Amino acid sequence: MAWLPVLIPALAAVGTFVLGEDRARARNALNLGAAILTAGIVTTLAVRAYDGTVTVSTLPMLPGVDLGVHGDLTGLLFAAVASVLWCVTLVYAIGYMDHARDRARFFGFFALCISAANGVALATDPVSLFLFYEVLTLTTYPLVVHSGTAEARTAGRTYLLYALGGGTALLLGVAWLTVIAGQTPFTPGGALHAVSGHTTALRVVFGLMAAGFGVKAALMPLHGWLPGAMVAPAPVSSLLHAVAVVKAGVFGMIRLVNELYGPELASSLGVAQVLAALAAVSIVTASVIALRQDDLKKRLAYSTVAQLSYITLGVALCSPLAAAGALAHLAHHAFMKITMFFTAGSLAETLHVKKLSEMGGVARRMPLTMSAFAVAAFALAGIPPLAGFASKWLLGSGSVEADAPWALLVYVAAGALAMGYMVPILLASLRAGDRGSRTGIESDPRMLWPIVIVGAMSIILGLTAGMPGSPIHWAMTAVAPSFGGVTP
Amino acid sequence: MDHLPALLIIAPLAGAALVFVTSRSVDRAITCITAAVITGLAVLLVARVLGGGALRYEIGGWGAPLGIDLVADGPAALFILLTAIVGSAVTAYATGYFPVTEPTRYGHGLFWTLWLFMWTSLNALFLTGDVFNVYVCLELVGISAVALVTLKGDAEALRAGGRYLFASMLAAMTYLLGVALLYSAVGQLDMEVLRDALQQPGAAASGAAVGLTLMVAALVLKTALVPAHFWLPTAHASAPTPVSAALSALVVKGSYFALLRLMLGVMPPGFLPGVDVALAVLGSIAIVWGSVQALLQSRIKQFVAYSTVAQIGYLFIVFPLARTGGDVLALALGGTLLHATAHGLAKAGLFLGAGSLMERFGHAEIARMRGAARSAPVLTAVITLAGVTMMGLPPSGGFGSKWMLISASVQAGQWWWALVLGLGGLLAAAYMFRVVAVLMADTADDVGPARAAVRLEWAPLVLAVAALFLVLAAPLVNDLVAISSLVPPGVMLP
Repeated sequence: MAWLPVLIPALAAVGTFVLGEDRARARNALNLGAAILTAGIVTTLAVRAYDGTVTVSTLPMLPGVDLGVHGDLTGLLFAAVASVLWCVTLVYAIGYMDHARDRARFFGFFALCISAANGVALATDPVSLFLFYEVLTLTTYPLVVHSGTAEARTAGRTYLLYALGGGTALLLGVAWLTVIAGQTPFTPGGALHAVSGHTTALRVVFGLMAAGFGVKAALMPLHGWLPGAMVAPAPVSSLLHAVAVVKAGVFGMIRLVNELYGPELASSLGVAQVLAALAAVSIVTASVIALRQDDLKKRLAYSTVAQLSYITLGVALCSPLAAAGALAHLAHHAFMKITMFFTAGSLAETLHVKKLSEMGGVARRMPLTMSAFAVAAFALAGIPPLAGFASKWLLGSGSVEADAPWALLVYVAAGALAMGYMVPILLASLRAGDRGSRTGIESDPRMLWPIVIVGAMSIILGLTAGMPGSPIHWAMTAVAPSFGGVTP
Repeated sequence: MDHLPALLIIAPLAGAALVFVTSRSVDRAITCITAAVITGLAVLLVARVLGGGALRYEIGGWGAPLGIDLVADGPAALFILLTAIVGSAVTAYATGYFPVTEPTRYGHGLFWTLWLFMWTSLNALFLTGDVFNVYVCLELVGISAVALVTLKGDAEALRAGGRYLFASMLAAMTYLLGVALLYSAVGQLDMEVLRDALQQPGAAASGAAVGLTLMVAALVLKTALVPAHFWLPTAHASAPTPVSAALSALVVKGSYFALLRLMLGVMPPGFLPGVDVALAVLGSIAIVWGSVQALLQSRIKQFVAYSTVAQIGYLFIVFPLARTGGDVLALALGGTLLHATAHGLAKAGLFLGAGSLMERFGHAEIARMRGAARSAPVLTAVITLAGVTMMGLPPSGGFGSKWMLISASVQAGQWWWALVLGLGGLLAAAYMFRVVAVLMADTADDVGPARAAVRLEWAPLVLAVAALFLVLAAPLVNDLVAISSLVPPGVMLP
């Protein structure tokens, strides 16, 4: 059962390749069916996990090392976000890629990426996680270079340079750890108590693993690949470079700190503090860079760099509330940022607008799209009662709880900076301009409605933050065992 | 007595003889049937060894030290199975590659006989338990391989074949000299008897050490370890594509296997001091040098051939780790044999895929193969998937072997090899993705029509996919490794 979220998208990918380029209807039906099925299975697993039943499944691989997946709450939150947004993104992508070439390749690798991301989410231990993490790197490459232009291939090369470099660091870290401690399944509160005497080795291993995860988590200075990778088609930027791939990095950080080292060991070794400092610098620097970007997707990319570091900082603070906030923000940011990237894609595809300076009149031309964008933008800046506010509240109170007022200051400053880089986009769209004079309104309905739906989620998730099953409640329940209970 | 080991030599030999004497029109059919029979026998052998331990077959019932023994232990069975799988794919590919209508082009009337004869010699080489017999088999493999390289008969093929012949003869002579010295010092040729003899005090001081050093040097030359790789790129690149695949995937493994037997199965640990570290250092240099050369090649088969030079390097890291003995030895050896298997499958796929790309584009220049992802998607998939194994990324067998070798290095306290292995993966990614990026380009170069034979695409794809998921076969490889005299009794991997 726990394998299905990995297997179903992979099988859908094989089917997509076999169907070939021309059988668009069958391909779309196959992919949508697989996406809905995957989301359903993840939901079922989550309901079970809420009841305390964790489904585990392993198969023997290397000497002393099994390949395993399990349906625990932490992993399922990430898998649920990836799978649910896969459904939405598919609809958008079918509209977006309507007249594009190489669609079989596109949708096939897209499904493979989801398979790998679900594997990262559900992996039982560092070795299994590494395996899926590298598969994710490889399956994303064809999507980054999809257009085949010189620019895309350069971006692909940069992406590989960073990702495979990080992957090698991760491999060395995981292998070393396995030699010290054997195969260590992720355990809330940490799995390395028995070997905590190896302080130097554990510090180096943490550094190697954090560097490996830091590449996909775009932790500065390892973020260099992300802005360039924006050359990929919009659905890729949306789902992979705002959700699946980058979140695989921060999710790795969450597993690393909370469930491999455990908050206690991570802070007593001093490694969590270093990670927190790097994340704080990354938040502020990336936000400042975002302020100056004219290219819409680049601006969003730097915003992503900053927001991912929110999550890393939250985990590194090693306090229950901050950790819950980090996990919840992983989900919330996904919905907010995907709305924005969908919008950027619609503007580029329908109106050929890619820069802020060209955006005059688009709000009149695409009122619904831009309204959804505005909601997501305000949510990202942390305006109550939207989704971003709820997770940031947790992150902020977690900073206080961790006795790190400087972190609270960083979060507040970053919120102000987020307003600073989001509001100019809204203003640019409201300016008068020739974009509004074109005939027709909005874009292809298959692109419009996904935007409206994910935009509305920013409101719904914010309003329902206290209810069971909401990301906030889910995250609090999931991280509680790592700390022996969370005080709300 | 169980005749399975002998049958594995007789079957391909009978096939070769039949092809030679019958009419040309049935060449392909006989070769295909023979390949199927060998594959069946190889599967049986693996099952038999897994079930009942290593088989020892006394030819003619004489037995060592008087007669010649065949030893089918776990590693031998593994290599025979690998040869059977790759050999079958190569055979299927060759039936599509050599045009039926032009029997004289590439001189391939001779291909089928020579190919089955080389298969015979390889199986014999894997099975032999006698150091002199290794010499005989090496010569037979070498002669048939040189003949296969020169099939096309043009100037380039002849030059490459000449160089290959030179290296092959030099290696054979050196090896024979070594065997002679060893025999005069110890008076034994059977590997197991030799091992006991070499453990006697004073054995190292005798001429045995010199003899063994010469034998190791000869096998290193045959395996094309840097700097003795000078003959490999031209020979492997200029041969007809099915031959290239067989040479890169299988033939270098033959001499390597003999070396492995010699280093770990015959010589007691530390018998030739410093040689194990020297081999691993050369292996590390091979990884870097071969990768850099692969990056610089403009023609696709040369590129694949240099990738082989690099990948061979990984096979030599095991020697200094083996000194630690016990679990580390088993882990390192398992990783090494998994690498040999994964590389065999993937490299054959890569060569066959590269050859098909050349046929489609009508030239060998990588830079002018743009747009292949659209015009030849299956071949692009072959190159990419085989590349995953070269890079050692999961879930390929290359990943499994890298993992095991890194773990063994750290456990043995020789962590520097782990860094080499990590670097090797990155370099492989660099040279593989340089090619993949060209294939994915949006500008399209002209391609010829696809050849009717779908085997030219599917045979390499099957190999590349098999290599891609080979980590799942790691438990089988480890079980086989444990059934051998190379691993001390009682050591079982967890």
